[in-house]
Amino acid sequence: MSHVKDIFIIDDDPMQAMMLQDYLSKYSTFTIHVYNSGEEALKFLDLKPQIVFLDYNFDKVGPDAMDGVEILKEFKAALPLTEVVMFSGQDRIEVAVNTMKYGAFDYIVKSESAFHRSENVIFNIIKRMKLQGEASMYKRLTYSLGIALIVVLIVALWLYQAGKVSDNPGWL
Amino acid sequence: MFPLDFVSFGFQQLSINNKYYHSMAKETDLTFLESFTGGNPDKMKKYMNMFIQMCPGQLTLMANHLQSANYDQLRATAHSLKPQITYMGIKRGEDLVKSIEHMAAEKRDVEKLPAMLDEFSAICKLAIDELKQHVS
Repeated sequence: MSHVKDIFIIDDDPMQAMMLQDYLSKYSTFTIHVYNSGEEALKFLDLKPQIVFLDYNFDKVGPDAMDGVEILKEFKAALPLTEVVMFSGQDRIEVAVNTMKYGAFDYIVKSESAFHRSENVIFNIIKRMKLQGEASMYKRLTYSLGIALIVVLIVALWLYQAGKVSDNPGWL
Repeated sequence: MFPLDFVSFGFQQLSINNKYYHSMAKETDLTFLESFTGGNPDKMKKYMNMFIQMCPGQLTLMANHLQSANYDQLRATAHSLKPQITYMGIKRGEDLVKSIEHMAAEKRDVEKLPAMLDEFSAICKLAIDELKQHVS
């Protein structure tokens, strides 16, 4: 469970939020923070959560409350590496597409299987983070080898031009 | 007139049987909650208590929104209540709240909504009574 430490749950339904928090609490490495509105959660951006579970509707908070997509946009703008997973009671494909368009990692319909799916999504995010980490490590390694090769070539050329090495390798 | 009366009598009997059936049948099915909590009675009680406390307020809100013909808010409240109804295994209420949500969203057949909301409230009240028995 490396890489993931802080998880935000943002939902105006206290029962849904508590059930998800309880379900994920079996992983003691996670610190789970629960907020009932986007406005409240955005005050804690400095915690830099790795994963955010975000409700799509915030009707209970009030008519002026930020909706899920607005909160998603704010999170992705402030913390581009944070993965946001949208939650909704709607199984309409256009809602899912809309959230994906703004950078959501996944979309989960609130149902009996939602909690198990959330756990799977966390595993997928961790897998992706590990792959991204490995990819960037190989990229750095390739750059380093490339630079080392160029340095060796420059030194060899300089030695050759300075006459410190000859065409005759010595064993001929 | 005999066949009509016969049919009407049949429906009355059906209705009576139906009422009797529902007064005996359980509105809640705690299979999901039991599996979710691993059968932990304290956790089950915690969620049941949350539902018992929250549901009546939501029903009142729905009734108020319907009375003021605020169908957008009625849809929103029905929508937010839907997952809780599912988690408590209130099967009859699940379909009904979905229909209320869709009809309010589309503002279609709104004249049917009061009767549907009454039925939904009655189901929820029966479910709450059952849950209270479980909790106690």
